[in-house]
Amino acid sequence: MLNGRLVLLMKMCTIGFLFLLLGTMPVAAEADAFGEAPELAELAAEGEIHPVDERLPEEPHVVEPIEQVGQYGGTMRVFKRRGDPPAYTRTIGYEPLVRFPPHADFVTVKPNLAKDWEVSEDATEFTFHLREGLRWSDGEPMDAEDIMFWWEDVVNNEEITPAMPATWVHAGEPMEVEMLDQHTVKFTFAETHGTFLSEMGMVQGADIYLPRHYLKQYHADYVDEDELEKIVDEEGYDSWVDLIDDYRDWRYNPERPTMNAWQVTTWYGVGTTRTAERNPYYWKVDTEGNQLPYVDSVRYAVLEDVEPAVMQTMTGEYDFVFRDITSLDNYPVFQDAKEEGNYRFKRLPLTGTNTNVIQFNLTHEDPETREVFQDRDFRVGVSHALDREKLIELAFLGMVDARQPAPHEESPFYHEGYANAYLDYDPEKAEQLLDAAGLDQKDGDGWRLLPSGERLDILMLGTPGDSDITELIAEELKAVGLNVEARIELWGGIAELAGANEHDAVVWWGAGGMDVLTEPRHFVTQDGNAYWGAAWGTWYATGGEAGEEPPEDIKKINEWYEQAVQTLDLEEQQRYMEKVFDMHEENLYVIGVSDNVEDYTLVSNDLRNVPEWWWGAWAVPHASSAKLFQFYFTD
Amino acid sequence: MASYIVRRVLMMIPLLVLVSGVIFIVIQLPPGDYVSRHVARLEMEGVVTHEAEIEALKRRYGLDRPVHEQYLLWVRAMLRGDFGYSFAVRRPVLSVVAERLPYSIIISVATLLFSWVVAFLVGTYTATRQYSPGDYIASFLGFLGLATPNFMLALILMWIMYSVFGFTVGGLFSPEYQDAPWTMGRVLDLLKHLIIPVIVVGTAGTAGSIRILRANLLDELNKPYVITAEAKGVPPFRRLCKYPLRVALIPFTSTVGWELPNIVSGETITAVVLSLPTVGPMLLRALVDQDMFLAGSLILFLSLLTLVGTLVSDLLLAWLDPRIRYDR
Repeated sequence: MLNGRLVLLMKMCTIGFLFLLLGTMPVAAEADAFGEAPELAELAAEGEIHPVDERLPEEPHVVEPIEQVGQYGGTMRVFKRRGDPPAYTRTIGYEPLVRFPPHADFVTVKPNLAKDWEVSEDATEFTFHLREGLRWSDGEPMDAEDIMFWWEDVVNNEEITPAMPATWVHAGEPMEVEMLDQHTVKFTFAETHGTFLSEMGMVQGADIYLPRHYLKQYHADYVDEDELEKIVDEEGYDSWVDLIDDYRDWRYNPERPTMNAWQVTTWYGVGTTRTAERNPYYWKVDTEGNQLPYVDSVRYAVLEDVEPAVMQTMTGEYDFVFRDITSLDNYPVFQDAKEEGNYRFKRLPLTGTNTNVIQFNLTHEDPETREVFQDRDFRVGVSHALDREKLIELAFLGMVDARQPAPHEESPFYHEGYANAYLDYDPEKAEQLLDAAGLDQKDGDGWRLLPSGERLDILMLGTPGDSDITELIAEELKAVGLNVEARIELWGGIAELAGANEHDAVVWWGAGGMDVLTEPRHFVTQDGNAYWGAAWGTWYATGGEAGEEPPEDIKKINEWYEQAVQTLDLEEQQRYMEKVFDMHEENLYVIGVSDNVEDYTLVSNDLRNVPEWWWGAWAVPHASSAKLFQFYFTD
Repeated sequence: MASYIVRRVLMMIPLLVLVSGVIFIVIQLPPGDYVSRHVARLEMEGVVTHEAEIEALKRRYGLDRPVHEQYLLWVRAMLRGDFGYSFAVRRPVLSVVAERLPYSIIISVATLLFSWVVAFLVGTYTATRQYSPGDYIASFLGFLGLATPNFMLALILMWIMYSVFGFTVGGLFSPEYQDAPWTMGRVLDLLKHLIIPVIVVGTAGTAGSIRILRANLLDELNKPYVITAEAKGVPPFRRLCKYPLRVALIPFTSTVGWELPNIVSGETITAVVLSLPTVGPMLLRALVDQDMFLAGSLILFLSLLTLVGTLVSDLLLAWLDPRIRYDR
C-alpha cells in the first residue's frame, strides 16, 4: 500500500518535471537575449511583473561596465545625514535625457533616456528622441507625455510653480516645449542657446519628466475638486499644491514611480534606515544583455550626527562612503584603518577653479575707492602681497598649488597663462604697485590713504566655510599697509550686501572650473552673482534697466562669452573663451589663491566596477555620476 | 486636596500661553528662517536656488507673513490638535515625535531605574559605612562620574568598544534588526544596545543621587530617635529601613518634577554622539534648522511636562511626608 503510493508520487513528480521542462523551454530560449536578477525572474514567473524582454525598452541603453560584466546580488550599505535629500540624488538619482560620463568634460553629453537628438543650425531648437518602450518602475509606459505633464501641468501651473525657474528662461523668454510624437520632444528658444544641451545633461535635466499616470490623481486639473479635497485632508496637507509638491518627489514618496535604478521603499523622514530596492523596469543592460542594476538594494543609515560614521567606516560597516566625513581632517585616520575597514580610496577632484576667489567690488559706490579697485596695479599688487605658500600650508595642509582662478586643467577652456599669472610672493613689488595705484600716502599707523587723504578701509566678506582663509588673507594684506578687516557672513548676507552693491570685497569659493560656460560668475558679469562687478552684472541681468553700464573692456569679455554660448562648436567656444581669459591674465579682475584640494570617496574592497576617479560636483552629481547601477559585489 | 489640584491645573493655562509666546520669540530671534538656512546649505554645495523658488517656499511655509500672524496661526492650529508641519522632514510634527517618543521613554526609564537602584544601594552603603574604604571608593567614582561630561564618557566607551572588542556602538539596533518586526531577537538586540546609553546617561544622575541620599541618611542616622531605637535593641537593618531611609528618600521624590521632561529629551548630547533615534537630537536639529513648528511644539510639550511633573512631585511629597499640607 505504502509502496504503491510512493510509486504514484514518483510518477507524478516525473510528469510534473516534464511539464515544467516543456513550460520553461521557450522562455529559456528568449532569456538568452536578456539576463535578469534571480528575484525578478521569480516575480516574472509568478506574473507579478512583466517578463524581462517586455520590461526593457526596444533599444535598452547598453552600458559598458567599467571593469567587467558583474553578478547580481548584495546590499550596498551607505549612510546619510538626516535632513539631506540631495544624498539620494547623489546615489540613486541622476537620470536625465542625456548624461555625462564619470570623467565628464561638462560639454559633451552621452545618450541616456534619449537615444539620440538633433540641434538646429542656429542652436535654438533641440529635438530629443526617447527610447521606445521605456517603462516606469510600476510597469506603466514612459514617453513624451510625461515630459509634457512636467512642463504644462507643473512648471506652467501657476499654483505649483508661481515663477518660471530661471533654468528654463533664455534671453528673457521661457522656452517652448512641444511633443512631436509619442517619443519625440522639441525644446525651442527665442535665441541661440549654446549651453542648453550640457544643461540637459546636468542634474536639473533629471527633473524634466514626471509620472503623469500617477500624479494625475493628485492634480486639480485632472480630478474632481471635492475628491481631491478629501485626499488632501486625509493625508494631512493644507492644499493639493503642498501634497503634489511632496508626492512628485521620488526622494520623499515611495509610491511615486521612478526611472532610477533603485526605488525607496519608505517615506522620507521615517525611521533610522531607509532602503532603496531594485527597479524591475530599469532600462539599462550590460554588454552581455544583463539587466542592471547588479546590486539588489541600497540601504541608507540615517544619522543624526555623522561623527559616529567615522568609526563605523573604520570597522567596515559601510560599503560606499561618499559624503559628510570624507574631509581632509579625517584622511589620515582613514588611511590607517584601510585594512580593518576593508575599503580603498577613490580620487574625487573638485570642479572649482580655485579654493578662494578674492573679488574687490570694481563697481564700488565710492568713486575714489572704485578708481583704486579698477586700477590693474592695485589688483596685481594684492596678488603679489599674498604669501600663497604660507596660506596653503596653514589652511590646506600644504596639499594644493598656488593658482589664479582660471578653468580647471581638465577643462577644454584651461588657460595656462592666466592660471599662473602674478603668483610669486613679492611684498616689495606689491608695495610699489599699490603706490602706483594712488595709495602712496600713509597715515601715522602705516595704513594706506586714498588720494583724498581718507584711509582706505576694506571690509572683506567670507562665508563660514572660508573663515580661516579669509582671516589669513586679511592679515597678509595688512602687512602691505591695506586696512582690511575680515568678516564672516552667511551666504544670504553676502548675497544681500552684494545685491545692493554695498560690499567692498568678497572671498568666495571658486565655482566654474569645469562648468565654465554655465557657471561663469568669476569670468564675466552676466548677473549679480559676479561680486567683482555687481553693478555691471545687474546691468546685464536687467537688460540695461538697472545697474551700471560697464566700460569697454568688460563689455568685450561679456560679448565674447555671449558669442561662446551662442555656438555649439567647441573649437569656436574655445577661441572666444581664450580671449576672455587673455583679458583676465592681463587685468586680473579677480584674484585666486590655489587650486582645489582633492576629496576622496571610500569604496569597499568587495565592490567592483568603480571608476578610478570622478568629479566631486553637484551639476554632474557626485556620486551618481560614477554609475552605481553597474557596481557589483564580488563573493 | 481636590480644589488644590484644580487650582494648580488652572494655573497652568496662563503659564503655557506665556511660555508659548516666549518660545516663539526665541525661535524667531536668530537672523533668517528655515528657508534661508536651507538655501544657504544648498548653495554651499553648489545647488543654485532661484529667487522665485525661495519666495514660493516661504509662501508655502507661511514665512512671508508677519511674525504675530505666524504665531496666531500656530496657536490656532494647536488648539485643534494640529501641531503643524515639520519643514525639514516634510511630515506632521505629531507623527515625527510619535515615532521617536517610545525610544526616548525606554532609554530614560531604563536610565532612571538604573540610576535609582544603584544610587539607593550605594548611597545607603556609603552612609552606613561612613569613612570606610568602600565609602571612599564609591565617593571617588561618584565624583568622577559627576565631573565627566556625558558625551565624553560616551566617546570613551565607544572607543573602548571599538579598540578592544572591534565593534561599534551607535543607534539602538544592529543593521539586521533595524527594520525587522518585533521578535525576541530584536528585543535582545535592543537591550544590548541600551547598555552603553544607560550607563552614559545614568552616571551623572547616579552620582548626584548617591551624594544626596548619603547626606540625608547621615543627617537622619544621627538623630535621637535612631539612637533610641538602637538603645532599645531594634535590629540594625530594621532600624535603618523603618524611618531614616524613608525620610532620606523624600528628596528623590522632589526630583520627579524635572525628571519628567528629562524622560523625553534629557539625553540630547549623548544621543547625538551615540546616534540614538530619540527626541533629543531631533529637537536640537530642529532648533539649528529653525524648523519652527517642530521645535516650538516640542519645547511647549516639554514645558507642559515640567508643569505636570512639579505638580505630581508636590502631590507625592504631600502623600509621603505628613508634615506637608497644601490646602488649609
